[in-house]
Amino acid sequence: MYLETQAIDYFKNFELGEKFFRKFALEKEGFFSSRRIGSSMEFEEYKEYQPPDDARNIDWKKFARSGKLLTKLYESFAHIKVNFLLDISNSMNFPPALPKIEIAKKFIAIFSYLLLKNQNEVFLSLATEDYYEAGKLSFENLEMLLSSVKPEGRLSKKAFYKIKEGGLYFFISDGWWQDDFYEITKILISKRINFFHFLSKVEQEFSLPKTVNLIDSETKQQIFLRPAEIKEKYFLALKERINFLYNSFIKYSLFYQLMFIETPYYHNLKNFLDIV
Amino acid sequence: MIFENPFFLYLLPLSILPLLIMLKDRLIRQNFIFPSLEIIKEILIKESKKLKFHFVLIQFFKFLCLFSLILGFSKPVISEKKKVYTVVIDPTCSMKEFELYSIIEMIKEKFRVEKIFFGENEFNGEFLFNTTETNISKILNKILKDNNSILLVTDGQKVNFKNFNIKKINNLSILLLKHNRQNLYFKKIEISPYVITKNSKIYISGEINTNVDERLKIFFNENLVSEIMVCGKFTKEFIPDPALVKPGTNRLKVLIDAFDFKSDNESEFLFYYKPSFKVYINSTSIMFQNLMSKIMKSIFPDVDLVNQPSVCDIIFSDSLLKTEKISFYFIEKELGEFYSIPLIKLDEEVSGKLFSSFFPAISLLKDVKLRVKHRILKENPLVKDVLKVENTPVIYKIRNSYLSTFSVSQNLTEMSSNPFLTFFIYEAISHSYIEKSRIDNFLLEESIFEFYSKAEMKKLISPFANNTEVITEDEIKERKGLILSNLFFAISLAFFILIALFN
Repeated sequence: MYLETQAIDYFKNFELGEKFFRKFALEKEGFFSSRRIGSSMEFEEYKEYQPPDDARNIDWKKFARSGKLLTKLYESFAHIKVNFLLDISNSMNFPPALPKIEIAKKFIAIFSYLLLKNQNEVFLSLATEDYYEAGKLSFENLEMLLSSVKPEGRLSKKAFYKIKEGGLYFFISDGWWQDDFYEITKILISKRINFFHFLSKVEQEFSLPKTVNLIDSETKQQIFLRPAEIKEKYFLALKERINFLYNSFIKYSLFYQLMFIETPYYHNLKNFLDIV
Repeated sequence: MIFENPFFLYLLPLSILPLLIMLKDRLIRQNFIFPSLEIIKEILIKESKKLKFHFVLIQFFKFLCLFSLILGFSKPVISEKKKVYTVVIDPTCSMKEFELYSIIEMIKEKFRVEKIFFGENEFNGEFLFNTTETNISKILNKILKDNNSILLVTDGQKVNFKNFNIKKINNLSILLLKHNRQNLYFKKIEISPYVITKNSKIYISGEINTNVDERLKIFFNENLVSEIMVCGKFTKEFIPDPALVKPGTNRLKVLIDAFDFKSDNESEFLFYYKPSFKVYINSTSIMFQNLMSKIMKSIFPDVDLVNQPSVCDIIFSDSLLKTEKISFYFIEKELGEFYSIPLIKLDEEVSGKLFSSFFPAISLLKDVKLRVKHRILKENPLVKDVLKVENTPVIYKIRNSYLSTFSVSQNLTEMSSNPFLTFFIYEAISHSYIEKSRIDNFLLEESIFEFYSKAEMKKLISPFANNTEVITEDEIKERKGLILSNLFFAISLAFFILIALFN
């Protein structure tokens, strides 16, 4: 169950506001998948009332004149097409007790719920050695689609070439892109893709046993290591990477958000939405 | 190098513990899947060699740190081994008393020893002591070599250094051994009594170490008074010739003088001679007076009973008196008067009331712990009935006064026949007079065979060598050489700091 009650309860009194939609609408024209009529903003046209339309929008003057129940419809910014691009490479299957990919799926679920509630279109794509379009998310297929996603392979830059331009993209990954790191960063920026960087505390703190045979989750390469010896250098290198990603995305007015999976994912989402 | 705490050396294998742990980590690795090694690889490419060197260096430092620490605890000492010594052991019979094997080992630890001689002959592992007189000069002159250094091990009998004269050498060291007991041949020897009056008999009892008959000679004030053949246990009694006895302290010597050798030490005892004892009995009880006079007469043949405490030597009393004389109190009545008793040992006063029923003062005085030492002399007819002396103190001495738990209210006949009471009175009087002798600075001679002191020996040997020294067994034991403990602790600390810095 990816759409969890606690997450829904957390956002019970929360609506994706105008600010959110305006932000992405203004920043990227042509976001709108189709011109939609919603229930907010500027008046657009009339529509014959049908339950469960909001009765408050019935134009009673028109009813008096025409005898028809007509409701006012308004142009809305809410109708956007959002693409969640999820990194499903093996590195996302870490740490074993609470894999990043599982947290990412829950994150997508609650974010999608909020978007779908506002009649937006939400799509899920998967990136590993290749790029897959998992499909359009709806309340009905959300659980099924997310549960079918399993970690596999190793993320490749080739996968990103296939991403169609247009629409609002959020890429969810742990940033472990092996040799393609800088290349992938470039592509993400060029394709105007926002980035949610998911990391675990173990990766951040490098809190490993005293001596260890480290195995790369993707390449299966092994290294004998005394983590304490390189801990400081690891911190510096990781910090450098995060700074690089942050500066690169911010520079091109894209969102970069570092999220630790130990923090409840809905808190992370709320923080992001508050920033937006 | 020698180690003063060698048992710490057993811990030395522990110093390789860091290396073993390193090996264990290498062999038993824990697998851990990590999302990506890309950053780690980048670091290792740059740092790998440095890290390996760094790690090995730290392990080596840990090893050296532990190694130095353990060595420090084992107290390594560099001995003075610049000079090469020839050790000569005095072969005199009196040297039999010493643990010569362990002394040789000790010397080897502290000196660089080239050869060991036992007397004139090279030491072959067996000690065959001289039973005749030994001439040290003759031995040394026979084995001396030019430019050699001699270490002579001897107990320093003057007779052995008679007309000492050797070729001049570079270094002459004397290890002066000290005898712990006076006589090697007596297992034990006791005399009684220590305080005598006219016509008092002196009893000598003891046991000698030899299984054959030996000639026992008894000297009274340096005069031979008796000569008997003894074997194993023996007893001898005699009345000293009045012409030889002088008032005050007298001395009695006992030695064994066999046909082929003369024992090179002997036993000496002190006597206090008093022509008669004046006794004052302070009691209204006729029974008490009779009892005390009977006891005193059984100990000393000449006892004068006097009526004035000021002219007496000893007081027996059933109530407390303020006097400095030797006093024995047998208290049976409750004393209402407040007494203050000065205590010698505690250098303070104990105050309180004395009650006959519980003797609380005695309980109080137990803290002073001035118990008269009771000697059990089975052979002494005076005390032969006293086969068992209880450990519980029954007599307490406060200055010249003795408090006893005996009460005159007991059956007097039984009390007068109690040999223990007699014995205690005798012991207490003897003790007081012998103590008095010591207070009078009477010096007890150690032996009729004189031994050189350290200073005398130094003076004696100094003309015969460029460098001389006289050392005792204790001094040689304490001779540390250069103790390297602190150096090793410092090294250990230095490595510890290095490990901390490198980490």
